[in-house]
Amino acid sequence: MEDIKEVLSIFTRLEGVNAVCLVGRDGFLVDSIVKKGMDAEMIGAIASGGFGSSESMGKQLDKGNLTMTMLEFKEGPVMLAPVGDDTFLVVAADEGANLALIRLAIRRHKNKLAMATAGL
Amino acid sequence: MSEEGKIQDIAHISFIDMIKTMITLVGAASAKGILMRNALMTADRISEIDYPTFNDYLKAIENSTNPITRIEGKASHKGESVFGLEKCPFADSIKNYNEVFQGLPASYAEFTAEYNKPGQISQKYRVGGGAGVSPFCSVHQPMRSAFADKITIGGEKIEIYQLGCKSGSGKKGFADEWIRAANVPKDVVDKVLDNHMCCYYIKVLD
Repeated sequence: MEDIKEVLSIFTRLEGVNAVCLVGRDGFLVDSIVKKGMDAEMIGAIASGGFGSSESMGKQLDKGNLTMTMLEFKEGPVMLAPVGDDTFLVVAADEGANLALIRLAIRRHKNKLAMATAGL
Repeated sequence: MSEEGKIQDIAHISFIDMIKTMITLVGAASAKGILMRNALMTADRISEIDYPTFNDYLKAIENSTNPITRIEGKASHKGESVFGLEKCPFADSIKNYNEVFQGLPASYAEFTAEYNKPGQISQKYRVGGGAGVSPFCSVHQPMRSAFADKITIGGEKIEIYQLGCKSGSGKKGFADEWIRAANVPKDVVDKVLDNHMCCYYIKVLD
């Protein structure tokens, strides 16, 4: 089984990615790699509300399970994606980061993260 | 002759509905996290205190100067560091709500199940795990355990283990993992819950 930090570092090696957090659905941080000065605990807590409300929206509109949420800001995107039943991933990047590569990395590596967190 | 209505406390009613709204808007897991985080942040603001002996700790419960007593009421020591709390600190809120709406919101069951699932905070503070009987437990239990982080007895740190809890309807919830970890016989917890709403164990670390 791969180490959570190892998997998270795959994301931070992508150009423009400056924060990646694995967060419990309750908003408590499991692990993270963030740029100096960022409060990963707070990112997790706030992202949990956003993730939860996106899921509720899907439920309300009968859209099935959430696969990814993207928030676009002037200075770059923030992506939220479920990882297993109990956690989700937050990836924050700079403006101009390659979104397709980030999406691909999420799709490719989320199962590894889910397996790594299963025993926690 | 006109009937007199009973005036309820809006703080109680709106707090209970606020939790219901949170569950609807952000889901049970996130709502649970918000309440638990809030409880931990409250606990973080209290001052540290040392009681020279376990008896001094008990005296502080009796005279209501113990920080835990000040938020939950007087617990009674049942021996072997097992405590029982006769009244749930949210009992008045629940009673007021029930008098207006005849029953807690249906989504509370989903929240309670979520609280009882193992999670990193419930593991860290030794709460939940079956001892949750309502969303109020997600406020009360972590807050009490986090308060304990600010208390020492004879200079030694203490830890609280949530052993069980009882709902207003009388249904008992047991935290088997914490009962085992605290090495307290389950039938002792069961007996304490016959006459109390909440049961916990205090371990003095040395």
